[in-house]
Amino acid sequence: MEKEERREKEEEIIINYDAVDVASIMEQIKRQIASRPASEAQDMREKETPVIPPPPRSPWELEPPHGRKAKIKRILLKLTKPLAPFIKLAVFPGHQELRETVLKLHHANMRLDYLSAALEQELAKLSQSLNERIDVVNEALQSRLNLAFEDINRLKEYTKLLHNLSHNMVVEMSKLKIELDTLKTHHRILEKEFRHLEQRERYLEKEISS
Amino acid sequence: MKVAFVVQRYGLEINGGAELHCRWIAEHMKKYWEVEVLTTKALDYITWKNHYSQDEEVINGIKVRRFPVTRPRNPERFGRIQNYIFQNEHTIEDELRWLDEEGPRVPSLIRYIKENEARYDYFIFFSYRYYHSYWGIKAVPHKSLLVPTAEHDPVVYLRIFRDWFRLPRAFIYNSFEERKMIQAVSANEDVPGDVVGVGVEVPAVYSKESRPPGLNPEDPYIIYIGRIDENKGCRELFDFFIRFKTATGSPLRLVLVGSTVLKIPSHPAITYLGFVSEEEKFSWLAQSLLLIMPSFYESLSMVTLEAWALEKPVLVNGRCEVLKGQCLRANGGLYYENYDEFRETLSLLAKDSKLREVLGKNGRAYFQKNYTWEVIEKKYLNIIDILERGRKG
Repeated sequence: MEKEERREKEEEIIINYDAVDVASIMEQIKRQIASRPASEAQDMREKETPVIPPPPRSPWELEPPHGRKAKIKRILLKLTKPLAPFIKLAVFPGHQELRETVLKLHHANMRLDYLSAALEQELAKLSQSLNERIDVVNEALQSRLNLAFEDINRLKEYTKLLHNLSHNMVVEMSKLKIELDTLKTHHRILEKEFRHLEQRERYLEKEISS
Repeated sequence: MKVAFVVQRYGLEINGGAELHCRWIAEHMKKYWEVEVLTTKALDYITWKNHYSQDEEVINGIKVRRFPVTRPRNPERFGRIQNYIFQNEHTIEDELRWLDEEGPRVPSLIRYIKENEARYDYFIFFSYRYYHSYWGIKAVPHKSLLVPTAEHDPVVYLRIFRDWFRLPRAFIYNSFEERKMIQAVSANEDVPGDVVGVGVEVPAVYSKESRPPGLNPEDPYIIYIGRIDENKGCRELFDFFIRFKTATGSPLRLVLVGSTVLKIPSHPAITYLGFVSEEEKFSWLAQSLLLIMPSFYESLSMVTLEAWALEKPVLVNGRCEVLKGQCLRANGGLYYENYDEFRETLSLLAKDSKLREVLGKNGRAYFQKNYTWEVIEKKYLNIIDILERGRKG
């Protein structure tokens, strides 16, 4: 379910309905699939790995002769086994064996050519798919790095602002401290003046009453 | 001008493949040429057992000469030999033995071609991989045209075909991919040829409202039409579709039409309807969301062309180069190469009706440009015209 939800959140396929291009739609689908987490893709690949059948035996080997005739043939073959090389030499002229060997080697060469071509093709396919995957991962990584760098730059600016703010606050606090000291001094002077005025008032009251 | 069409089987009972392709071409070209068909007495393509008793008959106005198969194929033995030559070191003689086993062995047909060569201007052979084409073209290379109907399977790489592909006077290919493949195998670029294919006929009357039995009117469905066979990718289709249903919970249903040689899984969303009439086939295709074509090997998918003729989009197996190439050229459908792509493409097509509509329209335009009968007939006439000019010049 989690996977399905993630898929829903993935980017929409962009389709130009006025000029639909199947190649571009398929490319987007392939990219979307390739950008999914590797574990999910691995699960899928494991499920899709074909079972390679065992190599076939020769069709002639698969049909063992049976019956009385075959039994006699088998016994005769067994009896003449030690003489087989001589019989072979007598039956097959040397050049024919040589020709057969050359032909077999020729076929082996051709098969090797075919197999190496097939191998190259497979390797090319593999490298193409790997390159595609690397491109996709690179792109995803780059976009994430870009986002991270943007965040870092934003944080840098913010820190600068905070630094300026704290500096200004210190200056303002210092000013306020000076202001406070000044006000305290004024207050003390005013208190003294007030006390002096009180004394004067008391003195004047005495003078009026006397 | 007298032209003989040479094909492994011929008859009204045969409703698909190169044989139907050959019959349609022969029936359309009879208005331009005197046409005869040279074929075997076989009906079953697995054993090639003689089925038709008559040596000659007329089918839809075309004279058909039938030749007996001298030895039916033993499928088990043929299978073993085929596996052996595809996977082991082997000689040209082994390949010829494989060809013999594959059949249909009709030496009398080859003899007839040799002895009556002068009576015909051209022989058009269908299906490169069978006995009749291999030995027939060897008998009359200077008068032969080949419609290879080749699929990208290991047969095309057999050594017996490498030089043989340079023998015919001209090639009539089904697709650009087929031409590329044959040219890559045999370097026969100097042999003239054109990509032609085959036309498709949509029945004049078919119900546009009838739905497959067993489906509710509101059930959305996708349809597969053709032989239900492992070689046609049906086993993989069942697997992918059931996984798709489990993963997405989609209400989509899969409708299967055609004869089956494969066990169809019992699943509530899979409906098998067997072999149906042309009218029913087109009605149900017209009602479906899309046609699905899971085949790995196709030289030309007629049913894909039929879907496009009805403005239906297709979803095809991308591992078949021909189907993928057609989708890309027509912009008429999407393709998948694994389960992930199957799920994504099917989900996209199922939910986006506008995309389906546009793809269907593109498919229709591609069909009209390349696969109407006027276009096909013109291409055949043009190829013969080129050969005639070459002969006279």
